[in-house]
Amino acid sequence: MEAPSLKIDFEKRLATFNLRVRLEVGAEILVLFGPSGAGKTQTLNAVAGLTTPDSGDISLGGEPFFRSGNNGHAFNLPPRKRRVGYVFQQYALFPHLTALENVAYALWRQAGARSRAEGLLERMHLAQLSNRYPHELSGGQQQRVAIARALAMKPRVLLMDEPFSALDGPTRQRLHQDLMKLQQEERLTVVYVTHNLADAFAVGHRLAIMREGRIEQVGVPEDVRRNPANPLVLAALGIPQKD
Amino acid sequence: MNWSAVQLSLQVTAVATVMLFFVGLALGVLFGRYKFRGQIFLEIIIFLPLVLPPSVLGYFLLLALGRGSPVVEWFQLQIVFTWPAAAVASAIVGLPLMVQASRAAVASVDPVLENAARTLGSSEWEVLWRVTLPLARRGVVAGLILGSARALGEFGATLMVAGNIPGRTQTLPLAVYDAVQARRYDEANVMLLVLTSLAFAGLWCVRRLEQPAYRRDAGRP
Repeated sequence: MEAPSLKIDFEKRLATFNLRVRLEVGAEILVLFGPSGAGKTQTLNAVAGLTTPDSGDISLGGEPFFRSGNNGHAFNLPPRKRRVGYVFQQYALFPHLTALENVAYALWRQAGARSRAEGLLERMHLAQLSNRYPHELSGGQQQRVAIARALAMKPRVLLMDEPFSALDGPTRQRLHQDLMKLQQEERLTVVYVTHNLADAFAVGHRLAIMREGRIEQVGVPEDVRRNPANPLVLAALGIPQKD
Repeated sequence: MNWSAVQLSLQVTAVATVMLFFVGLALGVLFGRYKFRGQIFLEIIIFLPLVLPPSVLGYFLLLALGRGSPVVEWFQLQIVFTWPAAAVASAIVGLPLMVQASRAAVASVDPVLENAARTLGSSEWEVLWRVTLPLARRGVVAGLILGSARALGEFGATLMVAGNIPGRTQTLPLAVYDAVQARRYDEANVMLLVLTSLAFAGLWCVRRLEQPAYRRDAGRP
């Protein structure tokens, strides 16, 4: 079954610029790439419902998450009803809960929560560490727990905000491979935010280049590299301009 | 040893602690998480007992709880010069300490953790009960101990609003005053030791609670 597509089309006034994002994401890893302060995290927050756009339309498979109406009235689905998994840059694991309890957090009202959480930890190669608290885990292990926690609620979309930026190279590579495998197996819709070009090219099926609140170009990474749409994209990719 | 004063002090402090927990925690969460119109005004009113003379606070309480007040006229609650009045006075003097500590504890919880809980399907109540309060619990408990210790030692306002009736409203601090006045120094010394030991133990617990529960790298930036 094909994953429903995520449509993002909104505007939000920020302190430094006007954030204007228009994107459509299917069952793929879309990398939102740009420098710090380009509006990438704000975009994820708008999809998750953690920030409210000024206007626009955000929906998943036709089901509205946010829709601005007339007279300033807007439909805004609360984050808890969106079933959007979010993996935060600093892991954001609950420090008072063990790895297993973190993963089972979203399942507390469901029967079989424990066994499902255990299964997810096993899948993330963490079965032996389920009773450890976050501060007893390495950065890579913490981020695996965070991914398992986000997957526990069977999200329809997975948002990842610089998920591996604090990790060393080899750990990052392993997690990239795991993520790509996971995405294929689950047919997940993933929006992956990074300001690291190597990360962007390593995991992205498609690449969206973002600068100062605008999407400058969207495409397959190789195509974007070969045919940059404008000097801003060239600069973002670190390609020296001719002339 | 004046055992009736000990029993009464424990009774008054226990009831004051229950009031402190519910009212102080609610206000701590309100001030720690939200900004609203009139907040500064409300905060100043709650913190006034820290700086007002106890006699003024006691007089305020007499006006609020005495004859002609809404408490008596509407609810038929006549508590002036009874031990419940002492409990109310004790709770009010302990409240600023409880509110201050629980507000700081709630405000120190990383909002990213609360956002994570929201994306995991939690309502605002669930976020509060499952994330914010468990993470703020050390500060909340510290505030409750401080507030209770202050309630246990309350003297001036209690004297004004509950009187100093042996066996009925005479708490330990009032009994110490009476014993010293009557030169019963042996009795005063014992009560002094009890009150000082309890205060010391309370502050020791608070110091222990100030140690961080989780290491800095515990998934919190």
